[in-house]
Amino acid sequence: MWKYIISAGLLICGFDLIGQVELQGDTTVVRPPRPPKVKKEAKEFIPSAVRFGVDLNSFSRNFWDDSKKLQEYQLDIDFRHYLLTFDYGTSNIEEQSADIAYQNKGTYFRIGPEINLMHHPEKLHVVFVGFRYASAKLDDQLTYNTEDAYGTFNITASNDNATAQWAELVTGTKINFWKGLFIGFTVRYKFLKTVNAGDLEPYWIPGFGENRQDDKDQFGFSYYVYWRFGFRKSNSNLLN
Amino acid sequence: MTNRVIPRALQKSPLIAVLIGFMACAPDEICFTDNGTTVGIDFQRVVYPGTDSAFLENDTLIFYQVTALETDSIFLALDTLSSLVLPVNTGKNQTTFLFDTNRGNHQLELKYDRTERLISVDCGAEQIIGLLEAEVIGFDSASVLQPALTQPANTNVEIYN
Repeated sequence: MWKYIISAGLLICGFDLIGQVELQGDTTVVRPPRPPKVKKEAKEFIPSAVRFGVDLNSFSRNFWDDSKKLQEYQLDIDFRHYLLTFDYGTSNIEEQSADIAYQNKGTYFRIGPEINLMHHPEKLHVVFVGFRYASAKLDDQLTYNTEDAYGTFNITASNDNATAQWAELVTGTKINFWKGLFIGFTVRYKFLKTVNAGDLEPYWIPGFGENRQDDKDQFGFSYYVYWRFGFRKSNSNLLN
Repeated sequence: MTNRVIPRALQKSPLIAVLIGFMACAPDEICFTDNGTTVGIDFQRVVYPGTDSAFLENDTLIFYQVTALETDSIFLALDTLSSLVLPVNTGKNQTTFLFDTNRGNHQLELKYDRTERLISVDCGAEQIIGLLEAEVIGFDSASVLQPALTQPANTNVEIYN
């Protein structure tokens, strides 16, 4: 046992010596000291701008669709080539026919990261993939007449503070056209939807769209016009 | 540090986006749904061939009349059947069916919850009905096999004699 301990001790001492001096015959050569390690420049994750956008898809609907009043705004902030994106929107739906009246009013938000895949240091274009967590709150009411073997009924059902959550995988672009002006689009794959409601299944979920019973997942599309408010030199298109 | 320029296709991306947007169209309206307002009822009887075994078989009854409380409608008159499909009351959360058969008068009371749903303005609204309870008077017992009322109706309730 002692034999192994002594051997191990000598071996360690030996390594220690090799690190400092080298014996060459009768001459002792002292190695020059190693140059100090140059610290790599720390990556800066300090935001350089916020970009504010309006969803034209929702906004334009107000002009041609009387039954749906929608608004959506987006804000993103850069952390090098990562973006943190926040969407906020409102919707007001009124569907009406001779026998049916449906009202739905609510708000929603989405939040999540995006990765900018563009690596051009002098341009500010963004081509991104990302993820969103989304949540909506709504009040709705349905009134309709129905007739069966038991008579004619006027049925009214409503939800106060119904909620919905879902997730989104997103991809798209934000192209810099002029100064701070950007135009872009976002394609969304909306999935993992859960709805918490009462005796009325919401027909419309703000930010998600139609709440189809047989279609749990949906695709969505938004066009945005943005203005970028920069407050320092951007490094958002630097990959490393 | 990479120093790539934007691909030409991406420079025209807003245009591409607009084109995709115009090409995308709303899904066609599908009014048909699986949700129904009729309940499927099967009649079964317990057969004891030996002292320690038993099995179920279809029980055929002669129905002189099948009606329900709160309606004058007669759903069935003079027929010999072992299963029925009957409409539930969509204005209430409860329906009581009355069976006048060759084995006397019986009752089936169904309790359910209703969720309203707008399919679309063009298609109208519908109810999603889920059975909670089935109780019988006259028959031995009943059980809910399939709570969701669908169209076409499945066997939702089994009644045992």
